[in-house]
Amino acid sequence: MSDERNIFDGPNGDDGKELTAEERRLEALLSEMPRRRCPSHVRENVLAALRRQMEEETKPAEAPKAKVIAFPFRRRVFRILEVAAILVVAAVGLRVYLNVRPRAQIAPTELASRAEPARKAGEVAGAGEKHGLPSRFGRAEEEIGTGRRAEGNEKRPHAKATEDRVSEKAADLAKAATPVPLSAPDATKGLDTYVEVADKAAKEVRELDEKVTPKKALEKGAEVEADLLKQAVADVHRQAVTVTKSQAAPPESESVVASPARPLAGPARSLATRPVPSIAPPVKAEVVPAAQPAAPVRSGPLAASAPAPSVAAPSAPSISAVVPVEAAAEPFTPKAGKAEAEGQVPALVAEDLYFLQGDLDWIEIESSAPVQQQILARNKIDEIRVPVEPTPAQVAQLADRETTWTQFVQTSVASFSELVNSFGGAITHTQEVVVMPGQRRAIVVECNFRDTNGNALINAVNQKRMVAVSNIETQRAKLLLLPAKEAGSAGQVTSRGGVVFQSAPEDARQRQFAPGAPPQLDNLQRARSRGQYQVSVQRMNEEDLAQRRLPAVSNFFAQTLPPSQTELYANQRAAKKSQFFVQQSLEQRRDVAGQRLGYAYTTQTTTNAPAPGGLEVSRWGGYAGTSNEQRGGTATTPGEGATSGRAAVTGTIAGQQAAFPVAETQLYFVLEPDQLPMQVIHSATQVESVAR
Amino acid sequence: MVQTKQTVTARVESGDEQKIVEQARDGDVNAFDILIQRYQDQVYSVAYRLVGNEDDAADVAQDVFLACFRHLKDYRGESKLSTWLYRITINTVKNLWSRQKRQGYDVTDSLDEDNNDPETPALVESLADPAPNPRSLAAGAEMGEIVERKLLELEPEFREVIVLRFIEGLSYEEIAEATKEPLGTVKSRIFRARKALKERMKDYLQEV
Repeated sequence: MSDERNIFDGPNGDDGKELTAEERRLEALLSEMPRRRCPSHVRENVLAALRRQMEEETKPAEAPKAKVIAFPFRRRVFRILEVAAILVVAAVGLRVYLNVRPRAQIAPTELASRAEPARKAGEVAGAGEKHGLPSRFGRAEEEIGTGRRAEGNEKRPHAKATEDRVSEKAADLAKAATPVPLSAPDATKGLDTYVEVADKAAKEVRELDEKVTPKKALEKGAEVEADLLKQAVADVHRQAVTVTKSQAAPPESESVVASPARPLAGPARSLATRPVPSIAPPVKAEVVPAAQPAAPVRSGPLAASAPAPSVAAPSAPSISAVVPVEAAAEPFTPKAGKAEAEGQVPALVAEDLYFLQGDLDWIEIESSAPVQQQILARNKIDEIRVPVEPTPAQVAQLADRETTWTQFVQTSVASFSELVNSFGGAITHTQEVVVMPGQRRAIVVECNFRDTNGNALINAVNQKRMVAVSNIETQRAKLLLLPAKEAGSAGQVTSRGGVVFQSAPEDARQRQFAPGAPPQLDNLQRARSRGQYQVSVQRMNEEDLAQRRLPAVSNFFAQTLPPSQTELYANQRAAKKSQFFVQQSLEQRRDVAGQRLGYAYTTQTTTNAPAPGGLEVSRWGGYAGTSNEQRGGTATTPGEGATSGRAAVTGTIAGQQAAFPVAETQLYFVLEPDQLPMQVIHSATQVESVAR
Repeated sequence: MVQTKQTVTARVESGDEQKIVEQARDGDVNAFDILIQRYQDQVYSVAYRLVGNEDDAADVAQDVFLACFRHLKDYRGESKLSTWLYRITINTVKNLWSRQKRQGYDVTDSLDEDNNDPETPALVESLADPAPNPRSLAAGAEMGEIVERKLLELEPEFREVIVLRFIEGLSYEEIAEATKEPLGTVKSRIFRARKALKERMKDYLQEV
């Protein structure tokens, strides 16, 4: 401290007191130390580096020969660019507005003129429906009448005239469709007659159009309208065929049928090879009543029996229409395809038949000679073949698919049950459903949980989008929970990783929460922290999975139901339990860590049947696919059946349940086959991998 | 009278240097060459006293001048160019030390480390002064080497201030500016550094 004072008290800081002789000698020695001479190469190196650097900097500067702009202009150049950009945007906007305005401003006279084709369309549709025509007939007419008028028709009177003529002609065609004799023997004759009428009408319209406007003067819009006319004629043609088919019920040999499915040649090939996306689309499940047989996935005998909307792929060849009919009368429908794909297409199009305008080499169909000629004329098909009966191998393959599906149901439910058990729950109900879009077969699984454990399972399935692969060959079940690719998430998984959950012994995971209360399964985290779970992580890719000797069709997705479907499904289940609702509310659900899972749809109901645990049953359904039944407490509006429940509570349980109410949660999951190759077992020795 | 002449000369040199700096700032390498010639010994000497070997000192000097040319536009002339160069030199040396530390280059050798080579003496033996007569040594040029060696044994921050204060003759304010330390810190550090060096040079200084 005294040294410090000496430093700062002195005039020179550190020489507050007299320097000793040693210090003076030291300073003298230091001050006499000679300055070192810098080696010459230092200067040379520095100068060389600088000159090199200057040369490099000057070279690219000379290359573009930049022109120096006057400073005032430089300051304004950004402003000028801004103004130019605004002008461009304004010009584009004005042009768009001018294009849109004619559609928005419909004159009263034009409204009336539009109403007329719409009325005609309604009449035509009514007439069509009277004879079994679907409403699409009217829709096509309406489209011609109104939809295409917005192309600036005021400027093209001939187009408007063409439009009106198209409407009238289509109405005439519809009238012409009605008198077709519908008796069975005359079905084919009626069809041919109608086709001739349609051709004649189309020809008349075309000639009329050419008289009104020379071909060269036809604008692009008029060409489109000509196409529309052609389309309308073709539509009428097809509807008439359907009328003939459905009402006249002709013999099978005379039938021309089509089933709802995808387009033929191109999509058929793509169906065989296209990979299923790794992340399944949002689940929209249509619950199929138990009594009603579920619709099939893609192929097989049940596929044709499902009334489904047509799905047209964008890359499909121009297939004009897909008309659903009962395929039960046509166990094996005609095939079509290209020559080079002959071996591949027939099996995939066995359920499909179209009137084609695609570029196909052959088609197999049973029909009369005139109809065949018409098909050849309308479609670019070189050859018509007579269909052959399905081979035993094909029949066996279809049967194998059903067997495969059955195996999938059994295996996936069993393995998912292991997963549910590992989280302390149990599967209480399963039901086969059809998932839209695509009419995929799937299974809805209802699981019963303690509340917190259910949230943990939701977390595991929802956030990580697990793909569960079961391996239940051993007695101690192992489940591989594989997070699928999840684009955009922070922890994006680039390759499949597997987490092996090995089940702990049942008794190790059970815990008695209260004296006298039944033992409950502890939650996953707590069990893991106590070492009762063995968790190991292993990484694998799809090839590894494919090479694993897994049981057949054991790969599946597990997803939760969306809120609306959860509510629907829960209500259906509740109805079967003879319960009626009293109060409904929306509550927020959080998991153990406080993270919001979503909003839960809560309905407090009073059960008619005596409930062993209490009087009230509150049902949770909603965001996370959760349905919760709480038992215990007091009833607000006890029903008749509830009286016995109350007696049970007051008489036997007497406070224990009230002190330790046990909340049970029902979770609903949808299990779907994974995109990994499914193994179709043809026989005991032959195993073939096909796409799902 | 003599003092007035020196002041005028210094002003003329200062004005001249300012012009040279401006020319170098515009990219004139020849003008910068004049600055190099003027300050190269000073920079190299400080670097040598700090790093203790010629190769590193040469590298530091090169880096200092290249950095100086690169950042000359940032030099506003508020301090002397030499002070600014001292600052760059100290920063460059510190960067060198940290780089050597990252690369595992330990400049500290253990005195107790056993040397298996019989021809090479142990470090403790080489550091031990073979000449027991300090009087004769102090009189000769070897005394300077001893001071340099003892200087290198000091802590780096003590070495900095000793070199700048007693060898280069900078004022406290200039040292504070070059080292970016407060003035009080500089003064106390100089005091402690001198005390530490005196402790190491005790035997020689008594004999002298």
